[in-house]
Amino acid sequence: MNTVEIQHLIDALDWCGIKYLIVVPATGLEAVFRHFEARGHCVYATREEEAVAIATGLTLGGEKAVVIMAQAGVGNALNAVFTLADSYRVHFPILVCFRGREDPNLVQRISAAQTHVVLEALECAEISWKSASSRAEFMNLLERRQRWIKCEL
Amino acid sequence: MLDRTETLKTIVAHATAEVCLISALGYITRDLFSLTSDLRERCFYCMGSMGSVVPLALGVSLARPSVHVFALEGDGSLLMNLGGLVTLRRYARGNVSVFVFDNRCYESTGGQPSQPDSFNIEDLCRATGLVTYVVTQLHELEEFLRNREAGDAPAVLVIKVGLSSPSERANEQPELIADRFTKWLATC
Repeated sequence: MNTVEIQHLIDALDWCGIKYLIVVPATGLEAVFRHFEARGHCVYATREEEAVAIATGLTLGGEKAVVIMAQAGVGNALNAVFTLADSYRVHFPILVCFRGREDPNLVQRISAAQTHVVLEALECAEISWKSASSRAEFMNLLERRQRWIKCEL
Repeated sequence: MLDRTETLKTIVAHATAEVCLISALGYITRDLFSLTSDLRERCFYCMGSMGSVVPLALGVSLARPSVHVFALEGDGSLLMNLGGLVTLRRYARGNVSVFVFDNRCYESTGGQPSQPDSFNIEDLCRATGLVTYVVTQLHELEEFLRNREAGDAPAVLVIKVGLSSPSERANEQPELIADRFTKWLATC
């Protein structure tokens, strides 16, 4: 994502009232982390499963949270999503970031291909941050209680 | 070795009005469910997500600073997400107490050992910088619970327990548990 797209992402999160970001850091999103760090509401988890559990607790407590993860973290997150967030119907979105299909890391390319298959099975939505209208689209996804949302970095 | 159910009874008895309890899957949730018919709204009974009690408790504690969260974990479940202790140390304030029921095995699947012989889980907890107590007598637990004060950092109590039969399964829908818990948290 370029800086304009990153800003659209940040604007969308703000516009939707997202207060907490829980994340295992992914390349390319440093500006997003800084935005939430400045507010004291960026929580760095050691594993994506943990991020899901933290977001579940925050949401139970009435806060609006988002989990952002690199595509390679999806597998790590599944148990907590299935047996905690989904089972207990605690909604918050999980934004899964993919690098482009020309990722120089061959393992990431293989992982990304498989993660797309998994996310399709999980009825993942897709969003682009190219336009400022993405914030309305993101709001719509939240209102639909969409769990998995993917985008490209 | 302490008895798990008797230990939980003691913890529940000291769960004052601002306390909520989050329990790990398996026998801990079963026992807590059987002991808390009068305070269900303050309990979150995990029936899955092994290893998630500590981060779940962290999330609740951040959202509700006036609530004190009792996180009731098993040693096997804690081992599944050790990073959670580090994250707890990093972000938690003083409104989290983690109770680790340490029977050194995966009791609900038949008692397979969870730790090597020369390993003590309290050493691992201390290594993360968390204030850690070891409890082998009930009066030690009672003393902590009576004197518990809101400080700046969470505490971990590793409670050495033996094996014991579980209570009946929790027979509530997960969504009901979450909805009721959320509503109670909203009043705090």
